[in-house]
Amino acid sequence: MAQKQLTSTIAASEGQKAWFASLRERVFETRAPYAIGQADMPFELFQAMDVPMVSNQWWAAVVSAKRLAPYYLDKLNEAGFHKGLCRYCSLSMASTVLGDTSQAPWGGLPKPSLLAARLTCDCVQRVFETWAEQCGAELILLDAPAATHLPPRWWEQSRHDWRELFEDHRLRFMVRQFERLIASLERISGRKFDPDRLRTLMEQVNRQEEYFEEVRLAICNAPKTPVRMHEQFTNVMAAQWQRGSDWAVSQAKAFRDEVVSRAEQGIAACPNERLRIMWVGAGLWYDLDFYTAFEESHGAVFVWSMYLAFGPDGYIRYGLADPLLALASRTVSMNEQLHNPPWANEWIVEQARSHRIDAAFVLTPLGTRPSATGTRFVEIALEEAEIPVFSVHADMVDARLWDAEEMRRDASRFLDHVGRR
Amino acid sequence: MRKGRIAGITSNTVPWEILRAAGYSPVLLEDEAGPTPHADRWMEDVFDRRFRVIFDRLCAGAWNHLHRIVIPRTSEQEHKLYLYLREIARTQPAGVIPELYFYNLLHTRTPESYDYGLERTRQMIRDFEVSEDELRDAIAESNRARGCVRDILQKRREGRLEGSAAIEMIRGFYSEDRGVFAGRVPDRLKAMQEQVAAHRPHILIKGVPLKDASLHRLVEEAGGYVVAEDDWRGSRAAGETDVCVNKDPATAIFEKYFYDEVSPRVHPAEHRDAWYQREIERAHVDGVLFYVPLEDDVQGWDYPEQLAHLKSRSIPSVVVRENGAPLADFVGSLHRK
Repeated sequence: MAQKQLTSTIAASEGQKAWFASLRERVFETRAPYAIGQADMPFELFQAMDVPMVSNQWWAAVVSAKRLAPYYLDKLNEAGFHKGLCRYCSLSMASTVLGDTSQAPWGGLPKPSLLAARLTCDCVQRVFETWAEQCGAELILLDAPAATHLPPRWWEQSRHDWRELFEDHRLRFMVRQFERLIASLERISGRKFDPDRLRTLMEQVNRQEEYFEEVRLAICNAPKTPVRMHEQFTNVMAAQWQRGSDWAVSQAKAFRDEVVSRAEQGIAACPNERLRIMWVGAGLWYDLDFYTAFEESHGAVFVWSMYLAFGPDGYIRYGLADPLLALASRTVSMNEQLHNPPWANEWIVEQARSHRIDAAFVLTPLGTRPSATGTRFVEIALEEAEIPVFSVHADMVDARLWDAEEMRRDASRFLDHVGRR
Repeated sequence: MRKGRIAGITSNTVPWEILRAAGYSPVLLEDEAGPTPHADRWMEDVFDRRFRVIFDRLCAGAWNHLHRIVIPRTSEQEHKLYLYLREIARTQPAGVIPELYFYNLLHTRTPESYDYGLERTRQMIRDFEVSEDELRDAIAESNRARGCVRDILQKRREGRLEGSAAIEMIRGFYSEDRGVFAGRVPDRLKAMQEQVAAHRPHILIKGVPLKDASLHRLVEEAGGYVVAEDDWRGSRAAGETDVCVNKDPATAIFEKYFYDEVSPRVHPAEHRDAWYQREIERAHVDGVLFYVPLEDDVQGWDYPEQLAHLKSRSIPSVVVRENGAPLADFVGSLHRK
């Protein structure tokens, strides 16, 4: 793993580990309730109710990064779930209910009180039903009506004109589902929901994402990126999972300060930078070294991923008189914004242009099939914008499908070609 | 009733009655042989062949007899198909893709989803500008056809109709005018008096949606009798009930599609599995065939629990990943109770 260049990255990692240790302590010693939820759930509600929530995808990434995914995924197959089923959303479940759960990172996940997911595919409800039954946890699922109003350049409307952008009937429906979720959280936590507290938290989330926007701008404008992509991952996601908390806002600010300062001083993450690369899709959590593997040979530096870029465009909401409605607007269309036409392809091309991207690596998930949709539209849109594309067919957590040497060889050939243009 | 236009529909939960009342002849869009160059360019491998063909033929303008395409929120693949077609329609010359309509029917059985779906159904009725009388006529026509589907299934339960033939007959429920379907099925059934299932093991098929009767034929060639399938193209086509004629038509139509149709998105699981559990409890099944190819990302999650349930009831089962594999040995090992 390449050396961490930013002190904020080290602080983010340590902060996350400390948060997790304190979660385990609270759950085991005081039987405090906590939840596990899909990454696109409204974390803000849990935060506002003091019910900690572990992101399913984050935990899967941690398990994968510790090279434990093959063990738990094999256990899943041995339990009768066939090898073609989705892995990103089920690895955390496997690590909590199958095989030797004590092998899981950092002592493993304690038993949750609540499991929560949005139904953006047809399989996640089954993963969570199985998980809830195994753990004896309460299960809350939020349904997901489709968007039918998808105007161009959504990111120009999402901050102020979100009421019009995300369709009134979908927002009202999501708020009603939030009310059911809140009732569960009140029952589990013994606390009363306070809309003013949520509003304050939403204001803090805006502040946090505004810091990320400054980082994004610094990367766009700097001759060479001041921060590598995998350090962006760590800083951004540590804060996003606890978004709006004092720690998250302060972590985002520290990250902003450091990146902007590096940019002002002309410090490059990779002084050899000649090609700016964009990574489209979730991370390759078991092989983060892939993202620095081509710096020396090709001067190819990964500068962009959705994790940082989506923060400002996807999360900022101004006009918080009705914080639940605003939160609904943040939640209802993440899948369309990040993964599917027309919104994802249009946004990613815009991002590629503003970041002066020379080439894009686009992940088509092999073992998480529902996440694969939209990638062809993205690839074709990038190619039409004259940005060469390298298609990566791999899973984000299942290292069993990954041939590191072959992928590096193929990517090198692609970058040779890009470098000659 | 206005008539003459054809609406392509992608599955069982598009409200046939609303389209019919608006003067459309709804037709289920089916798989067909041949290459799919447009799908190969735009769609990932995750899409089922039928959805790839639908996308391909629409992009190619090969199905220009269709005046409208109606897609429900009944599976994620249909949702994505809608987004893809919408984008092609936006970026390609006008008129290539027929007008698209999306029916946002949800399948979580919650009060919020009920209210949302009812409102979306009312909106669809407004969008298609149909009157209550037209809806009532369409409901009557559709219910007659449902009665015929139940008669087909009854004939099969009596052992007088092969599963493959039942599937072929039920196909008309989705591809013909339901009035025509209801007019021709009774005579065909009357002629079927011969017992074809004597001593043959009765098999229930469960798993991913079937595209045709080819798996049934393989079972039949091996000596089995397919008595039911947990599939909207077969045993579950008509559902348990008709569209209620004693309610306002919008509510009656919505409730039929909300409570009594098949979707991989039905939650909670006990509702999703209710039909299957009842069939198993009725004890007329000698074996269960799970059709779960490795491309599946849904049914495989339910399989371990369903297998355990069958074992507890001493009902044999087999998993078929591809057409054929261990099927003949399995059927050969079964005995009619």
